[in-house]
Amino acid sequence: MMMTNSDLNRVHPPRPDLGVGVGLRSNHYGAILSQRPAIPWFEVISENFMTLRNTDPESRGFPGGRPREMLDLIRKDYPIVLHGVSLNIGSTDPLWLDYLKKLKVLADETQPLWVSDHLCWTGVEGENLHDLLPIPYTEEALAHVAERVKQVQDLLGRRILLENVSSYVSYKHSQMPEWEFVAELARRADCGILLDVNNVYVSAMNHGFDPKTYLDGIPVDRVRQMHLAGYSQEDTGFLIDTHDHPITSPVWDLYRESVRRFGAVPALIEWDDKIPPFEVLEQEAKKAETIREEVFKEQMICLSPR
Amino acid sequence: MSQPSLVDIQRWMRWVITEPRGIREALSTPWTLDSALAHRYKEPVRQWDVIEEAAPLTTHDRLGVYANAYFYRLLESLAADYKTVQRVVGEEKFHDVIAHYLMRYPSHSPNIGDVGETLPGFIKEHPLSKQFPFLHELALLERAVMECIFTHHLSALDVRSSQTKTEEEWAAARFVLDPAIRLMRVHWPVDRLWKCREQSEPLELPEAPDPGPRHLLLYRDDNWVRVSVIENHAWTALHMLRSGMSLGAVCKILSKQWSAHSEKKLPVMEWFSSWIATGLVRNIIWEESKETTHL
Repeated sequence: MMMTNSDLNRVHPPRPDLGVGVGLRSNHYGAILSQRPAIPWFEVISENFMTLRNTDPESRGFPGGRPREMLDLIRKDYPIVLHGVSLNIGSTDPLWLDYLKKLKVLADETQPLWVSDHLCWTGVEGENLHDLLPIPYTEEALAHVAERVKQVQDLLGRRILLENVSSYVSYKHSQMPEWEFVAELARRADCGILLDVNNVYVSAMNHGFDPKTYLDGIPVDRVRQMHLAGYSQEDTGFLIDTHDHPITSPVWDLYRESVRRFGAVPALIEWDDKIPPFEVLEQEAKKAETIREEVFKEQMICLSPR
Repeated sequence: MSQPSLVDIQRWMRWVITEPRGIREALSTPWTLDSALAHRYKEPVRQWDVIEEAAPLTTHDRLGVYANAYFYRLLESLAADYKTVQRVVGEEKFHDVIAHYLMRYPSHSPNIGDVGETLPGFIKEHPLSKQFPFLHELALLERAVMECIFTHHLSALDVRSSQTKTEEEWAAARFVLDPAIRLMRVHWPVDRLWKCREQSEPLELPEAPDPGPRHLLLYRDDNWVRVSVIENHAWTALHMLRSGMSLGAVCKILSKQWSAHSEKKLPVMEWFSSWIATGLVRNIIWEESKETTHL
């Protein structure tokens, strides 16, 4: 099938394509620094590079310690992006200004290509549950979160990406499907989307929607990064986003669909628990790269004059 | 049914997820804030008003995923930060200690590493400290190790500037120590226990405190945190230098104590060499002074 001009724009939007990166974890510092693997970029968890509360006054407010020293060594040779877990963007609590200041210092000093976090809430009434809790997809929540994203972007002085999370509950009074909420939020707040393909699949299976419908509802030009990870399956068939397994076949299939729709978007392999040797992550990254190449080739064939 | 607001849903979910009696118990009892919300809603906010029921899991099971994740994520993080404490008391008791700890000290920080900040104090008051009287000091040591890892180094000292200094200038000098170092005085040999934390054999637990205090120095080299037992006077010198006292003032105080302890001269230069070699001294502030000292 021939593609139209608008399809062409969708496939190759003007955005940096870094290829397939890997999440940086402390277990792999040694391997990365000694072997300099051919990974195009790393994503780092922002909070892992911030100081603990009440450490020495000299370091208060500044990212520090051994993790930061390692990061500084690694980022000499690799581009990095920052990915947070505590922005708490969906909470009804006030934004954590101290946290945002630390994040800004970290971002200014480490110069990531972009900064991302999750579209969720992690705590309320001052308490942090350290989990990615889903937001009810209501007009009230949409207006609330959009306003906070704008504030965060103003404070950081940069546009952020927000990631769709895996969820295990849905709210009775949600007024729209998740993909509509994500798309409208990105439009209203003028932020980017980090599309976690595994999370789309996990939530689709847990809530009974078609993951392809989700992809079709996400605006192409807002997606700036993708995530790929493995999940665990409970005896009941319920899926949990554990990031402790290889990526499964249906997620690879959905990734292929995602590349077809969103084009050359940087993708990242996440592995957070039962972390294997670095070579395993490299192999997963190669698989993702192969899928990308196959899709691009298939699209080139479609575009070639016959 | 009136639609619950975002803030009430979040407060309710936090309560259900963190309820120590478990999800089932929480859902079978009214939310304690129900009465406070009576003016906002026609009916009380309960799980069947909020969460969609959908096979294959019940609402209990679905919320249970979050409740388990909440507790076990924090337990796992604290077990990693307090590995030796966990080995001493065993996994089961550690689990119970943390369950009680989180009830009293839930996380209020974006950084999960801060959750264990008050655990040593909690352990001190815990009945397990009667069974393991060194547990509090061990927890303090493990927390200090964490702080040492997450505190930045200052850039290394350029010793060339110190080579031409007079005795007077040395006496007035103030040392800037690396912020990552920690100085601890303990009564139990908890440093020995900490060093054995990775061994597969059972830990040999101390039966009695040392006759005198153990002076610990924690610092970070290129690889990891080092914990050393150092001589009492050297420890005191570092302690005083860190508080901003000049080298001359420190030597004056310590010389008196040292002469009662040894016939030799106060080994300041030996200490200084070792502090430089291990990167403890990161800068020297030179000031004019009339005070002299014999280094």
